Amino acid sequence: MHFSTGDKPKIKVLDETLINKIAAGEVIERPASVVKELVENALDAGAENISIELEEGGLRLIAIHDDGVGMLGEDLELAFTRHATSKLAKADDLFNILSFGFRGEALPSIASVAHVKAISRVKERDSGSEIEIDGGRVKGLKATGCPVGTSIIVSNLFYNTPARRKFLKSPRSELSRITDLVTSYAVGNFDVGFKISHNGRELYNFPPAAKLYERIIAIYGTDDIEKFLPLPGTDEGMFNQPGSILGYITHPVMAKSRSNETRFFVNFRPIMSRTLLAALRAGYHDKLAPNLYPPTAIFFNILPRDIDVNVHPAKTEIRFKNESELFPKLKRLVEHALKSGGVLTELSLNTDEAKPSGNGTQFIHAKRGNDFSKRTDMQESLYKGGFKEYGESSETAPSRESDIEKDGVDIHSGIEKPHESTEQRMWQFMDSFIVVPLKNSMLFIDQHNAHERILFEAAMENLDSGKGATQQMLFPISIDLTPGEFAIWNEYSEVLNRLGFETSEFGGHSILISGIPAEMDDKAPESALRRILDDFQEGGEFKDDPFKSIAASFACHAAIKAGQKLQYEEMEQIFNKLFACQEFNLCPHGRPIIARLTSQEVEKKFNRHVPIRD
Amino acid sequence: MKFTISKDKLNSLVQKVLNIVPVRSTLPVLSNILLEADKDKVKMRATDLDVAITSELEADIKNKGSLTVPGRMFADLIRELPEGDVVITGVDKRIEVKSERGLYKIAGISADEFPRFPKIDFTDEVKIDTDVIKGMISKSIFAVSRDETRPALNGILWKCEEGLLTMVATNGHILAKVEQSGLDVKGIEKGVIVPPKALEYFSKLSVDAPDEIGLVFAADNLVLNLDNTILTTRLIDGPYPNFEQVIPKEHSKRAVFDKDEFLALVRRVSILSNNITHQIKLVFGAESIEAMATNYDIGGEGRDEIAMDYQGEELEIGYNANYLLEIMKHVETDQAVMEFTTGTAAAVIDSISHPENQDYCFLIMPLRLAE
Ligand SMILES: Nc1ncnc2c1ncn2[C@@H]1O[C@H](COP(=O)(O)OP(=O)(O)OP(=O)(O)O)[C@@H](O)[C@H]1O
Ligand SMILES: [Mg+2]
Repeated sequence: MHFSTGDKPKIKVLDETLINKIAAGEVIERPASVVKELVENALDAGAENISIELEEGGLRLIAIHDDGVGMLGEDLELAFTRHATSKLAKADDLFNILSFGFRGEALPSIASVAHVKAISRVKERDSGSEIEIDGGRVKGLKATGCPVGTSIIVSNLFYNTPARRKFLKSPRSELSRITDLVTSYAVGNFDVGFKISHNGRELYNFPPAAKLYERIIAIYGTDDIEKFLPLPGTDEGMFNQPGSILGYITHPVMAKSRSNETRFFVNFRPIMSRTLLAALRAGYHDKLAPNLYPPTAIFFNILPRDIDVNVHPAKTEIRFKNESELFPKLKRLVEHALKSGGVLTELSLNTDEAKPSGNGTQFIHAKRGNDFSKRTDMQESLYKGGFKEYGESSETAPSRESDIEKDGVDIHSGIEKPHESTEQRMWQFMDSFIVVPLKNSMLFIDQHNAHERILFEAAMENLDSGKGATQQMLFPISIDLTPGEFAIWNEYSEVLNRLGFETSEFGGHSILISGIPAEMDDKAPESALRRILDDFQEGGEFKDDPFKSIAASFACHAAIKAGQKLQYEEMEQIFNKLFACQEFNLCPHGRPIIARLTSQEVEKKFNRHVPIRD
Repeated sequence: MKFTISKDKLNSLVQKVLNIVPVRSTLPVLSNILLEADKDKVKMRATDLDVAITSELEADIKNKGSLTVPGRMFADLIRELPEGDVVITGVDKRIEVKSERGLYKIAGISADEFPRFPKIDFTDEVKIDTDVIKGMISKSIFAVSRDETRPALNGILWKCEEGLLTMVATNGHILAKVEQSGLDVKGIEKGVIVPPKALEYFSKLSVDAPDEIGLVFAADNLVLNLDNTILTTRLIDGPYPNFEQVIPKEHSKRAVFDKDEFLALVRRVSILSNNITHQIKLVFGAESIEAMATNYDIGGEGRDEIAMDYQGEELEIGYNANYLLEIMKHVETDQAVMEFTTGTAAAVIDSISHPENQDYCFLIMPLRLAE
């Protein structure tokens, strides 16, 4: 037998360090989780300024200094004991949580998987105390001179749990998680100053702000500030009033491919919520593409008894008692903000609201967003599902468009036709598909997927064999990047250059775009570039093949979108280019490009079962 | 409402305003034309909420009144009526159209539902030669951007300082600037941005416009007064980019060549260019311009050249052929001039001389060559 039946007891109570190590698995997943817990503690301690130093994406060092209330020496030791918390006196309090922390788990969990040093001083004492914990065991407590507040220094995270370390991404991507997270807390607690540095370089420094608006400027810069649209009442800013929903949403052009800047706060705590996201989307109506997320900062003040934060170990999810009331409320507020910002009009909201009001629409005040005409076009073609005017021209009344073309003043043909074929061979359907009738079938080509495939193959070639052509710009565009995006740009600027982008550093975290790949759709190249950087930050779609990831990301964001009206020549170009591609049935992500409706299928719909002719 | 008017007059009036009636609209009343009978005139109005038109003619008015009718159907009907007088009568919400032997009835919508038009104050009106304005518009409108995310570029900048009217349009890759001196348009010293739609209509309408038209800028609108017809358009909010700053003032290289030969060269060679980038490579040498293009998809390439008069070092530079063609078409003299300094900065394209009081030039940014 291999089992020993010796005299040692086999069952024993897990020792505390082990329990902590297990618990740490739930709370401390990666460097960002450490930062989260420590920032929350600092905020709970009433800090006015928090500064964070990082090395190697937090893996080597995370040091957080705050100027909060601090701890006495004996409390310092206790703080690293499991379930020691000053924040929950009795169980009843679990239903009345206003502080970020309440479990008394964070510090012991961190200390069990890293080397930790803590230094703290309360203002009533002239000196502070210092404690070191190594592998969960306290190594000594001594007096030390330090300013009022607390410093927690965490080094060599996961040194004793190599398996955990393996699951981590590169320091760069861990860093971008941390900057995302800290930025969220910095938005949610705009009255607190935040500073963060990495490997000795300051990434950002947000001074304490009196208004949310100021913090948003500190983060996003002033270039895009008019694209932030306040929810009603935000300017007066009663963020502490129970029941209030305040903050900012953004113009749809700001939308990003990742949801990391779509921020919701409940009682200043950043949270995720599908319900809130759905309500937000509903408020944007058709102005927001389903795969994009607008940056937001929306603050909900809800009585602690009406929410449950104790659902998820990282407290990022929350349960609302009145979820069904919250949805329409948020949706209405979002609509309101978009209307004031000129993004939505009464007309675009709802078909039954679209009836003209009895007293007539004032022409002179009709100062809407400039995308008005495009929007109505798109809506109608979607609702009616009809063909575009190309196919519509009736014999009796020539349409306005064809008149204009005859007169040769069609400004938007702007570009000369490649060859003067008079016969139209393809049409656009729903502003999203190119329809091409062939002899025995009808092709529907998804314009976005098709262009994506074309750009993907061009990008693969450019990445492989040198460099794509660059259309230079008369008016270079400067964009303010977030620290995370900037770091990515720095790392990938050579690759972007090969794709055909011409970018350069422009002070702070700004860059200047002075040229774009000649193949790309030149509408809003700055948002495409941003989305590409965001994708790089995530590590890319094809883990095994970084070039492929880059090309796919570029293709996806630089391609013309669904819902975009195309000129005839543009359709022809896509059509011709697509069939010159190596693969023309699937886009780089594997979605179909072409759907075919055969003559038999059409005839069947008319109950005609004619034998196939040729 | 009741009035009598000849078919021809009525038809010309309807056709004028029909241009503005949107093909499709979420607001049903916008598909209609508003008819108004007042004292001795009939007025017709139409709008798509960006552009509004009012046109009027004398008629024999029996009863005053107003009503809206579906624009296209009404226009089709009027066009097909036989010659002779037509009597139009508003009965409740229907309109009756009576020709010599026919009677037609069309249901309308009450005039109250039609958008109100702004009152226009004509005190600051300036008169401008129609052909001058038309010429300026056609030389700039082709460069207007279609990128809705940059609204300011979606229109033509109009600016008038010390008697010099300037129009500028750009899509960020090409730019057109046209100037005319001896004009005094008030209220646009700082510049306003006019959307192209109204200007297109104006170009169409002005076929039978008077020699001079009136211009007024008022309250976010531009008003074009063509005697019996008034076209109003909203303006686009600025700011317009600082275009002066990007126009190079000095050049180290100057090429002079025959415009038509150049157009033909670019057309020929670009047939073999990449059909998305339209990239064409130009080599400016001592005595010739060489043009080259390659299209890998079809395994095609082309090379050709024309004679040229050139000062400067040899230079190789890439462009989007379509932009070159578009710009060159607007050069009015037989000889065209192209000036530049490096292969990565804007080139200026110009005609060799300009009529008195007028000046224009075009910019084009290179398409940096793939390596
Ligand atoms: N920066 C700090 N300043 C002052 N006191 C602190 C600080 N960090 C921690 N403490 C004290 O140490 C205690 C333990 O912190 P810990 O984060 O482990 O638990 P918690 O915040 O109470 O609950 P949770 O596990 O939910 O975060 C806190 O309750 C608080 O009293
Ligand atoms: Mg805590």
